[in-house]
Formats: sequence, structure tokens, C-alpha cells
Amino acid sequence: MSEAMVLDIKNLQSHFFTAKGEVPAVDGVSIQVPPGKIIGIVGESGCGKSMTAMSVMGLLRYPGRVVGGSITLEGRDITHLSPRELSQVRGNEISMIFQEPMTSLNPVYPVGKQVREAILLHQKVSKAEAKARVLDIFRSVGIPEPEKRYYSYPHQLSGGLRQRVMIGMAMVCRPKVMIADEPTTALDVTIEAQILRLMKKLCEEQGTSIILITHNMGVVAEVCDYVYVMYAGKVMEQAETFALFERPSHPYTQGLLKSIPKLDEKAERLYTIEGVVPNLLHLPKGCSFCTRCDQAQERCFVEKPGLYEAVRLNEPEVGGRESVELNEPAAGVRESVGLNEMATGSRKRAGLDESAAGSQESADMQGMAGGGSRKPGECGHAGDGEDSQGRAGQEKEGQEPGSQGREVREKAETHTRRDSGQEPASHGVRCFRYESGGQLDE
Amino acid sequence: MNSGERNMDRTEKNVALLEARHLVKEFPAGGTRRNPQVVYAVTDVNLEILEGETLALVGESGCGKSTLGRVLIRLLEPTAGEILYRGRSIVGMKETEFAGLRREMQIIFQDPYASLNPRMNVKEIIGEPLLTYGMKDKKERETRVRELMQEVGIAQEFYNRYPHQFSGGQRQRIGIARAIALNPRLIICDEPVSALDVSIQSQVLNLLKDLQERYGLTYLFISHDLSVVKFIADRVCVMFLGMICEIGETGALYAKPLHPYTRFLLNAIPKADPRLRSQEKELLSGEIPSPVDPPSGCRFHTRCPYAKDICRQKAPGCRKVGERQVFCHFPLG
Ligand SMILES: Nc1ncnc2c1ncn2[C@@H]1O[C@H](COP(=O)(O)OP(=O)(O)O)[C@@H](O)[C@H]1O
Ligand SMILES: Nc1ncnc2c1ncn2[C@@H]1O[C@H](COP(=O)(O)OP(=O)(O)O)[C@@H](O)[C@H]1O
Ligand code: SF4
Ligand code: SF4
Ligand SMILES: [Mg+2]
Ligand SMILES: [Mg+2]
Repeated sequence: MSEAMVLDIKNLQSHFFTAKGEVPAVDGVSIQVPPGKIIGIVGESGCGKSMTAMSVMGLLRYPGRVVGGSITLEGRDITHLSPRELSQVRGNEISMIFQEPMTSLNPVYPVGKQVREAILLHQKVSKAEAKARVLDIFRSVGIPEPEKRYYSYPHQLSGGLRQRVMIGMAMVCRPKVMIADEPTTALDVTIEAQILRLMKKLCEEQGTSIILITHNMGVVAEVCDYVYVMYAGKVMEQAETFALFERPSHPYTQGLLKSIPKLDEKAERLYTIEGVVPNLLHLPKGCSFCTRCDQAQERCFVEKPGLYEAVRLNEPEVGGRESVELNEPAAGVRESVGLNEMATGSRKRAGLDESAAGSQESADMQGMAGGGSRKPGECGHAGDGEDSQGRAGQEKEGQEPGSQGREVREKAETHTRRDSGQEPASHGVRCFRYESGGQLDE
Repeated sequence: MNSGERNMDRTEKNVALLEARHLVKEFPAGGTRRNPQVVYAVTDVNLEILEGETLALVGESGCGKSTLGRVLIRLLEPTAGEILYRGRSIVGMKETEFAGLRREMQIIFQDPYASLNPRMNVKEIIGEPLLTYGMKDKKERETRVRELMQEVGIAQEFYNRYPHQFSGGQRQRIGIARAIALNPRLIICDEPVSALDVSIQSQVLNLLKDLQERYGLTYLFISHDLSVVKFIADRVCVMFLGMICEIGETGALYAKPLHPYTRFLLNAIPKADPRLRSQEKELLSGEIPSPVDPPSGCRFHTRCPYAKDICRQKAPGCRKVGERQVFCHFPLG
């Protein structure tokens, strides 16, 4: 299976060795990239998205270092290549673009020349041929008047055009993988839509796989085939995109999706994930999300969950667009039901924001965890109108309606297979609630 | 539920707190002495902010949102035009006279870090406006500062901390506490949640809503994020390159945009639902023109697929369609 992957990241660990201690910025991340697909890495700032990318590119800088795991590109282990070998791989087989193209473009050279230099560096062609190729590339990435733009300096171009130049430069050698770190975050939404479409086109036409790093769930939904949701250096949930949005399973993913204001509903209040991302130097002993999780159990504060198969739990799924019928009791997961709506209200934990939320918070959690069973309807979130609409559309598309909640272990395979390509990851969740699904990592 | 009803009550009264008439703001942009260049940042804007409402100002970067927001409360002097605050003209009003009104108008910025003095602690940051407006007594000030901290959700033990010791969301809370310290009526919120992660963003948006309800505040909420605007705003004003495209009630405007630009903007937002993906989605082509050399007539005509000759020649005036105002020669049906 993993041979078919263009890029296979296994249990990657990258730490920063600072005066204050060792920061586990990337803490056992495994990501599989099949050919010609767009893989999304999503999560809030500081969760390790960029450092994962930099580790793969061999661009981690002191005091950061890869301390464990492996990175395999087309069957070749590139984890421990020398800087020279690495620079061969970079640009040729794997390339990267950043949020702000200005930082990677030289301000005193015309952009056309910079792309031409990149071509000359990697390919044995004459200057004239190289220039002709630049113009081709500019055309293929949608730069209007390529001859004129060839001589433009970076500052003379708009943000959108600069990003197109960067994408063109990254595509010079038709790399197997392109990593795009927040490529549209600095752009306006109409320009963002253009750039996303361009990346999708390159991926489809040239078979380049793209790792798209973003904090925007909308961007993920729009273009990604598979998604990895990161939190505090770890992958919390991974799934095929439709599966993730249909059945977000990790409490963090559910919370993220519920926090986003929806375009098609008018809510009076937004759902909030209370508190902030924990300091990586003082991570909780157990699940790294336990300080903010509204479904945490006692155990979550002392033990670390593995990555489990996202089985369908027999309880209302709070984050999803459908609410699954409650049919059979599922063992071991009932205590936490009932917490969700309490967090939806105006429960304020003011001031706890910054602290690494210790015992006080866990007491808080347990105190609330009392309520046992409840009816499925009770947890429906605001905007039921939108909900039923969404469901109707879904059933039309032939995806399973909520009534199949009967099946306790319903694997995510149906979703991934539909996409016909390889299956890099089954629907995995790093949360004890899914323990019955069986562990996916070691 | 409550705030919705109350907002509606308030806006039904349709009392304008602030009114802009033919407001223009231009900046010098170099060029030669003979041929000086000008940034046409805000051009002929007519606008009312109703008492107690949240009016959102949306549009892509550089379209003049921040400039307009600042001009409206006279942080910048307008090049031309009239601003009425509670019916009184404030353009050209003497500083001594304006000082009394100034405390009623506050502003919150996108980057709370840049807008908070790094050498002042929370006590001083929130206390400063109180001191400026005559609260000399230390004890009294401390009581008020602590009350404000409570109000915005900053724990009391952080009273003596400095901005760098806080997360982005908490810094924004401090900025908000400072803005409400003097019981203002109007707050210009300039992209207050744009730099925050979504989980923090929702906390701050809820806080802004709570405060509005509690104190009957009026917001001009500047944002480029139409999802956020959908949540917070009663009415929306869409801008493009210094001009207003469309103003209307939020729900109706989202459901049925009448200006072509509004529709493209709404279409372009990546929706957090892969089922809404569509390859054929109609995208706006081209780039945003320069405000130094804006297109003639309707400034959107270089990107508008519906543009006709008249659009290139004549700037569209205001058309009223119900409560909606549209600035387009050929509004969408
Ligand atoms: N130079 C550094 N020194 C110490 N820690 C760092 C450094 N750079 C990054 N980190 C740590 O790595 C974590 C992940 O950072 P990053 O990958 O940039 O996050 P993201 O891209 O998801 O916003 C940060 O939370 C930070 O703690
Ligand atoms: N002080 C200034 N001097 C010159 N030009 C300015 C100044 N402030 C803003 N501008 C220009 O005015 C236009 C509108 O800017 P701004 O109001 O900041 O837009 P927005 O907030 O919508 O992004 C931009 O082209 C900007 O470059
Ligand atoms: S293991 Fe699951 S339930 Fe427990 S704290 Fe973590 S995310 Fe929440
Ligand atoms: S006035 Fe003309 S160019 Fe402007 S938006 Fe309307 S149709 Fe398009
Ligand atoms: Mg990053
Ligand atoms: Mg602005």
C-alpha cells in the first residue's frame, strides 16, 4: 500500500531545543500522500503545520531538529540526506510555496529572470529555451501578458500575481509533490478562489500531488481530497474530505466546524472552544486536547489516546450535519454525552485561557459530566432549517442518510473508495471515545 | 434571540447616529509637482449608521474600509463631504467642542499587539482613557479597570501584566476593554477578529455581541470575511475601490445580492462543505484596479461581465429597491 504513496511521512518528530526546554512542535505525525491528490493539513496557528512541512523539505533551522520518524519520497528514504543531496531533491521532486511570496522572491530581479534561473539550475537548456519555458509557465499559471510580466519586479505585481509566479517557479521541474503553506491566506477572496482553482488544475493536469496547509476549513472543503486535522503537534483526525465533513468525529474537529459562522444561517451565538492551545512546553499529561474538550473523561487527563478507527458511535453526533439515531447503547462512551450543550452556552472560563488548565479545570469537567442519557433530538445545534436542507441534498446524492447509525462499526472505506484513487488513510481519530474502533497507529 | 429583537426594535426606529454625505478622502501618492498623483481611497460615500445597529463594511483589501472608518470618527480629516453625528456636523468642528463627542466614538483594531503600547501594563492601558477624561482618583480608577476586565473576560490576576504576556485573543479583549472604558455609543471595529484563530474568533465575536446588547452600542464592523459579517451584522455595506456597491439588510443581501460584485464576492467564499464544491462556480477574473488610477464610470467595469458602454462613461447613482440601495446601472433581477 505505502509503495503507491508518493510521499510517506511516518511518525515524524521534530523538536525545538530552546533555553526553556524541548518543544515537541511535531509530535509523531504520519501523513500519506498518494499521486495526483491534494492533501490538506488544517489546524490553528502553532499546531505544527509549517514545521511538519519544513521538516519534509529539510529546511528546519536551529534550534529545531528532526528527532524521529521517517520521510519517504517515491520509495526513497530522505530523512537523513546530506544538505547537498537534499537540495537536489528540493525543486526537482518536491517544492514549496509560502504565504507571502515576497519573502521568497528577490526584490531586485525581474520575476521572469528569477524563474529562468530556477530552470537553468535544474535543466540543461539554453537561456533562450529557458525563457520560452518561463513564458509557457506564466501562461499555464494564468499570468496575463507574460512577455510584459517577465520584466516586472516583484513589488510591481499584485499579491495574487506574485503567488502565481511562485506556483510557476515551484512547478518548473514538474515536481512529484508541491507543499503550499497557507498560499492564499494573504489574498482577497476573489483572488484566493482563482489560485485554488489553479492549484487544482495543476494537480489534475500534471499529476502533481499537493500538500495544502491552511487554517481555513472552507479551503479544505473546496479543494482537498484528504484532510489531516492537527492540534498541538499531533494529527487529531484524518479522513477523506467528504467523510470528515459528513462525520467530523474528534471533539476538536467538531468544535472547529461549529465555531465557524455559517453563511446560510443566522445564529445568535457562536459555539466556542473555550480556552487556548496549550503551551507545548507544558502539555497536559493525557490527551493534548483535554484542557478544552467538552467530552473529556477522567482518563483523558492521565493517558494519551492513540489513533483509532472512526467508528460510528451510538450517540448523537454533535458536529456533523446529520444527527444519527440512537439505537444501541455503546459501551464505555456514555459518560461524556450531555456535555456538548453546556459548552454551547455562555459558560465562561474567563482567565483560565492562558493557564495550562490543571486540576481546577478537570474538576470542572467532571462536575459537568454527570448527566447520563438523553434523547437524540436534544443536541441538535442551531440552524435546523439549514440542517434539514443539507440532509435532503445529501440523500439525493446517494450518500447514506442518518438512519444507518445502527451499524456500530461502519468503516470509512465507502467514502474513500468512491474517489477511485489510492486510500492513504482510513478515517482515524485520536480520541478515547473511539477506542472500540481499534488502534491504527502503534 | 433577545438581541435580535432588540436590534430590530432599535433599527426600526431608524434613528441615524452617524451620517455621511458625499464623503471623499484622497491621499497624495507622490508623482511630480506638475502631475501629482492621488489615491482615491473613498469617493462620494453616502451612508447612515443607525442607532444600536451593527453595520458591516465589507470589501477586498485596499477598497477603503479602514480609511472610511477613520474618517467617520475624524481620526482622519475628510477631503470633502459632511459627517453628521447625532444630527450635528462634526467636520470642521472646533477641537474643544469635538472633545466632548470624541469619547463617544471609539475604535478597535485588527492587530491588538500593534495597537497596545508594549510598555504599558493592563492597568495602564485600560486606565489611560479614564485618566485622560478626568478620573484622577487611583482607587476609583482601579475599581473601574477591574470592572472592565471582568466585563471582557480577563482574569483579575492579570491586572499588572504586559501585552506580550497575553495571547492574541486576550489582547483583543484588552483592546475592547479600553474601547468601552468611557461608555461610548459608537465603536468602529476594524477587522477585530481577522488575525485570530477560529476558536478564538468565535469567543471574541460573542463578546462583542454581548457588550452591544448590554450597553446598546452601535458598531461599524469592518471585515473582509463575509461569514463573520453574516453572524454579526444587521446591515451590510459592500465597497469596491472606494465606492459603495450595495447597502442592505444582511439576510436579504446574502440571499439575493443585487450588485454583480456582491454576488461574485459571495460566490468566491470557500464554503466549509465539500458538497457545495462546484467546478463551474463563476469566478471573477482579473485583478483589483489601482485606486491611483481608478477605472472611469463604474469602477467595477473592468471586471464586470455585465458592463456596457454606459458603465464605462457614467458612475452609477443610487437605486432604491425596497430598503436596499444599489449602485449599478443594471442591477441583478
Ligand atoms: N524557532 C522556534 N523556537 C521554538 N519553538 C518553535 C520555533 N519555531 C516554531 N516553534 C514551535 O513550533 C510550533 C509549531 O509551529 P508551526 O509549525 O509554525 O505552527 P503552524 O504552522 O501550525 O502555525 C509552535 O507552536 C512553536 O511552539
Ligand atoms: N495614509 C495613506 N497615504 C496614502 N495612501 C493611503 C493611506 N492610507 C490608505 N491609503 C490607500 O488608500 C486605499 C484604501 O486603503 P484602506 O482604507 O486601508 O483599505 P482597506 O481597509 O479596505 O484595506 C489603499 O489604496 C491604500 O493604499
Ligand atoms: S481523548 Fe477524546 S474525549 Fe478525551 S479529552 Fe481527548 S478528545 Fe476529549
Ligand atoms: S454599473 Fe455596469 S459595470 Fe458596474 S456593476 Fe453594474 S453592470 Fe457592472
Ligand atoms: Mg504556519
Ligand atoms: Mg483595512
